[in-house]
Amino acid sequence: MKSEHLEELIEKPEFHRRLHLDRFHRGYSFGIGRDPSVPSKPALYLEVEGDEAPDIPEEINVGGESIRVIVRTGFKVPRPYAARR
Amino acid sequence: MPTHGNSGQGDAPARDPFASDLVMSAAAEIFGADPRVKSVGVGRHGRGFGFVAIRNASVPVRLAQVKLISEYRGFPVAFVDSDRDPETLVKLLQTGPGGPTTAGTVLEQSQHRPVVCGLEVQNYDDDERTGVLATGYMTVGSVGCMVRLSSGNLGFLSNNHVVAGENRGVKGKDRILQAGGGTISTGAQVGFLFDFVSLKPSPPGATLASGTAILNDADAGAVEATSADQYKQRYIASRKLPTPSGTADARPGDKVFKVGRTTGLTRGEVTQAATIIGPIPYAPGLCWFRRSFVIQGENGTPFADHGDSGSAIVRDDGKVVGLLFAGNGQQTWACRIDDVLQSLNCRVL
Repeated sequence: MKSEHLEELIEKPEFHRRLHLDRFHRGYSFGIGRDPSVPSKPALYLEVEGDEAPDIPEEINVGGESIRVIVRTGFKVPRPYAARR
Repeated sequence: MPTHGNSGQGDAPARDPFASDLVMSAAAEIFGADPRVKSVGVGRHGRGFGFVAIRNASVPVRLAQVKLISEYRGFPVAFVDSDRDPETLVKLLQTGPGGPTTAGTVLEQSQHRPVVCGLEVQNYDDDERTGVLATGYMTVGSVGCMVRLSSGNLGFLSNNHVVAGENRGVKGKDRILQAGGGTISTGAQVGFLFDFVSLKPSPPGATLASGTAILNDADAGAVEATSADQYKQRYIASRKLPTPSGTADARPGDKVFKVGRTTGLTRGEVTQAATIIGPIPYAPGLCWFRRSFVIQGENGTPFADHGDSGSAIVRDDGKVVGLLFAGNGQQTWACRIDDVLQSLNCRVL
């Protein structure tokens, strides 16, 4: 699995729908990291606002290869980091 | 038990004579609720105290195994995610927040000439226009790195929300100060706003899954120097850091550092790339970003805080990989430097 392929997919609305994110209307961060079990493999990291996530699959098939989806709840949406003082 | 209201910000449970029992019973409850939890203690929560649970988020669990806990006996419970189990003999950083060599005042907050990377900057005119100065405040961020602008002149990069007032900036007119101030003191102005990448807000309720979210590539702005010899591509000499030189793409696992006006020098690791993030609140509206990357501070330390926006994210070999633009207290987001350079038609010196 080439990470460039995942990088293209991750911007596509249909890919977000495959992960049931069309049922989710809060903030999230969705990126590509390393699979903690097999660091040479990529994994998808989905961090979602709130205490509940939609029914997100634990793995997703991309080009015949299974990619792990690591979901974390309790995500805080970031803020721009200028300071007012 | 200390008395406390329902504000979610308790008094310090650790000061109570029964606090150790309280912590033990809370720990039993929290450990039992989530198999990923590796540590439970008492920590700051807003202006009060609460329980802080550190969990190894890389441990695979089914959501059904996790019982959600937001408070225990009236005290708030916050979760901090780590990607590994606690280790013994954790190294103490020599630099960064909490490091033994960190001075009380960050060097980058003072006026410094020549202008170098990491220094505090302010769009004075935007603060005046928006009435920020009249309230006794100012809006500041950090110098990213030096660039050759499309005009052929020297400039530096920072964020749109630092030097261009979140799309309000007036190109060629807004005065940029280093360091920031409530008035313009002699020599404080170091440039003018040259250009910025407009922030494109999404309609309310927009989502990426529905195809309604508008994706931004960068939160970036460029400042043009008022004199040619005013800017140098380096950090304050005492930082003893490599000179930013050239660019690269950030990849998960990359070791990086940044220097910003609030937390100074910090080091961290890129944990995610090609990241979609949103919606982030800006003055024009809620913004989504693509192709950003996520950084986590070394050994659980914060990588950045308010005021560090605009800092360049630099690999240990000196390659610039991004511009820091947002954070949530635990993680930091940066936009890809090559997207910034392409959008602003400039190049790193």
